[in-house]
Amino acid sequence: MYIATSLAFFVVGGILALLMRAQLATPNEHFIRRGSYNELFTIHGTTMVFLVVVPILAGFGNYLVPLMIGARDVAFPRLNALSYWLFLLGGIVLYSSWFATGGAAKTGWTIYAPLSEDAFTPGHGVDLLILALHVLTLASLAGAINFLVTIHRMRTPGMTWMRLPLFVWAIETYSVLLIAVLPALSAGLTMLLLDRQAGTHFFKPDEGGSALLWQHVFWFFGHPEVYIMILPAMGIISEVIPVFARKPIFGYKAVALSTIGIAFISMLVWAHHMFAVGYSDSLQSFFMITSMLVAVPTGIKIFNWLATTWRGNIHFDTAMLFALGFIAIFTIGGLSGIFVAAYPFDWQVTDTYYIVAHLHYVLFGGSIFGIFAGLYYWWPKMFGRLLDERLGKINFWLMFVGMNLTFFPMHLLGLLGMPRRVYTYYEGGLWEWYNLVSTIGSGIMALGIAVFFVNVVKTSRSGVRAGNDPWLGNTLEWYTSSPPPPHNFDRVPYVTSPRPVRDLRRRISENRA
Amino acid sequence: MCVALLALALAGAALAGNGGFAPVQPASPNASGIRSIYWVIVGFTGAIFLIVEIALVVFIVRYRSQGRSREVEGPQVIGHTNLEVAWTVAPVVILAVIAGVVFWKASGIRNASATVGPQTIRIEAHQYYWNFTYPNGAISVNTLRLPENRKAELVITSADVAHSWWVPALGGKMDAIPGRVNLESWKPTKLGTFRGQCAEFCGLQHAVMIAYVKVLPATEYDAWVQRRVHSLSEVGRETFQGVCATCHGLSGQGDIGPPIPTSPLLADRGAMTLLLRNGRNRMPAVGKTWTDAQLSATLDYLQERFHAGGGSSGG
Repeated sequence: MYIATSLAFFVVGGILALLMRAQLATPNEHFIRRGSYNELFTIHGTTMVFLVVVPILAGFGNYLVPLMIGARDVAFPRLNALSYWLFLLGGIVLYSSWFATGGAAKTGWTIYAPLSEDAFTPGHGVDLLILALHVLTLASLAGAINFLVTIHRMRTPGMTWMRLPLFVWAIETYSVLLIAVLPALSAGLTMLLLDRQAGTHFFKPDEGGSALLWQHVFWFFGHPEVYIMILPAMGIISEVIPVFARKPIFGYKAVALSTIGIAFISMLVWAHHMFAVGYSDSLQSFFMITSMLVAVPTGIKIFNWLATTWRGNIHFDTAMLFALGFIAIFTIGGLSGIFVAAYPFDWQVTDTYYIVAHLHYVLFGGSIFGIFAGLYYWWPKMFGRLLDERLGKINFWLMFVGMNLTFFPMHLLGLLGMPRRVYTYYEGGLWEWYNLVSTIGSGIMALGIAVFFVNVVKTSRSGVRAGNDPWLGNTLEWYTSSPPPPHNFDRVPYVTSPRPVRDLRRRISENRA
Repeated sequence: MCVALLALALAGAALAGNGGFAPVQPASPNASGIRSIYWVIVGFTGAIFLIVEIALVVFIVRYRSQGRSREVEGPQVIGHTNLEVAWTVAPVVILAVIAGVVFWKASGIRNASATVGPQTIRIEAHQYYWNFTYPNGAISVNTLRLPENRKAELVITSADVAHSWWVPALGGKMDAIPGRVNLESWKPTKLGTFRGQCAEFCGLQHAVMIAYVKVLPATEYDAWVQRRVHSLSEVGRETFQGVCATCHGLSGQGDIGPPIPTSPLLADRGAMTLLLRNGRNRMPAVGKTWTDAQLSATLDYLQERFHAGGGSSGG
């Protein structure tokens, strides 16, 4: 349900993005009114972060964590239901804000004060955005607590921490991060709401408040949020690559520890979003160094995944294509991260299309590609039928080509001087060309995503039945039937390694021989 | 695919000068410092990019299954400590080098050093224009004049929401944040007009909050500043074009805001002063911080253009 709802929001958020690309296809275009454009990018960003990536990963976690650790269900099934309904409610509140007086929020998903204060943005769009985020925060917090209790208390006998599937490690870390940083967002949102509705002045400089305080509070949450969105996707990649390369993950401990390392460092980097606000050189240096440090554990993961494919027997099923595409694209997003960590260079590109490119290479080429790898990989487990491979390949290639066409030219636009969040531009020449290419790319990408839904519809009736273990997997979810019974397992084998199902297969074939 | 893109990108770069493959051609030591940092990072990250992508393609081609069944497993290698230490330490070293280069260059990027005494210019950002005040009190809107080869100290602040001062050819961004004053200094070394744009989303007309910097020979600059301080009519005209026209149209015909010539307020200086100082409904308090001189210059201009002729449409 999480996954289906998130996919529905993904389609809506995607349509918002296509509208924006249509508006920017040519200079001085009037396809969309300026106020509406500002609503589009605000709601697109909020949707993709809070209603798509975070909950879809929670959906995967919900479904897979109990299966992977050999448990019957999550620790608190009712709390889990509450998270889901709160998530849906939050989404409905956000989308109802289109009908509020003054329309939906037009402040960007970052809701920077004092622009978001009542004096500059009257109407109820921002109030509803705050309400929606409050509700979604509660949903995520309840979900995170549920995951942690499940992982800590309900592992099947023999599943020690060093035998835990890497996806479960990622969900563990994701949950800890959510619990650590969401309260900061809630506090900030409450202060903003009080400013707007109760006459306080936390973020109003005219009355002794601080405009910068909002930025600090928001990014203290906002940067770890990026890793909340990427770590579980990396977890998916760490599950998919070994299975389709027919090899164990290279450096299990390093991959698990690098997950924790990234999460830890991610809480010390927030002010790299604020290099241009004019704080001291020593602070800028600190945040540059911490931001660059994130590259080290990230590099470890990339190199370990590469080493996993080395001398493998690589099967190019769609799930694997998305995983390999993830490595190819995420590397670009990671490397452009080093550029923006170097603060003087960041002064040149922050708040330009370069950043839009960087963040989409990470969140689309990273998180969304990881999510699609996961969908193709676990779809047969969830529904008992395989997705069609031919359509899957078309889906992958359209998304891969479209993604690069859409987002690569944005790096160049940023360096040419195009700021983000502008409803139009007047320059012709390269500005116009790059924008046009980007818009064409977004169409190709949309087509690829449409193919996915065609695939789902087509195989829902006539898809090949999967059996328990179509990929010859490693982890416990492949031990039970597809789809699993309500209690997940009739019995769970004793776990003696990170790859219990492979151990079982080997034991069976040895007995036979 | 990525290699093809890169090749395409490089070909494009060769064709178009820089074409967005590097920060725009710098016109000050500030901007060229940023560009040199850019190329250093391109060197290192380019190498890592090539290593990763080539290894990926080679492994994909070399170790594809070629009809081998899923049952066939690769060698059960679970790790290699020395190798893993190597690819942990190597990035640390590379990053240390990059950070070193940044430290070495950073101070000259925010603040250019120059022997000729600084001109202190106040930059005040508003929804949706830039107000520049020169040391002698001269004012200009949206187009800043700077002297060539002299240090210009910029004092940057905002009168309403957060904005960001950015002229790519002359330097990086410095945010204009209400309640804060940010300082930086530039030394333009090339004559010409350079384009800039507000880079922090600041509301409805953020996209059109564009600034120009005209770098003039020092003597010409001095003459201009002297002249401007006495020519209030120019300030009035520039204020109308830079402030009012953004929402009311270049001939005051109305766009987001209502048409100016037919406004009943136009004849009433008191009411106009209140409107400009405090804003009303959707109109921001554009003149909140204007000097009396700028305010009256603007009112004079508006009355002369739209009212004196009995509401003529003006040209």
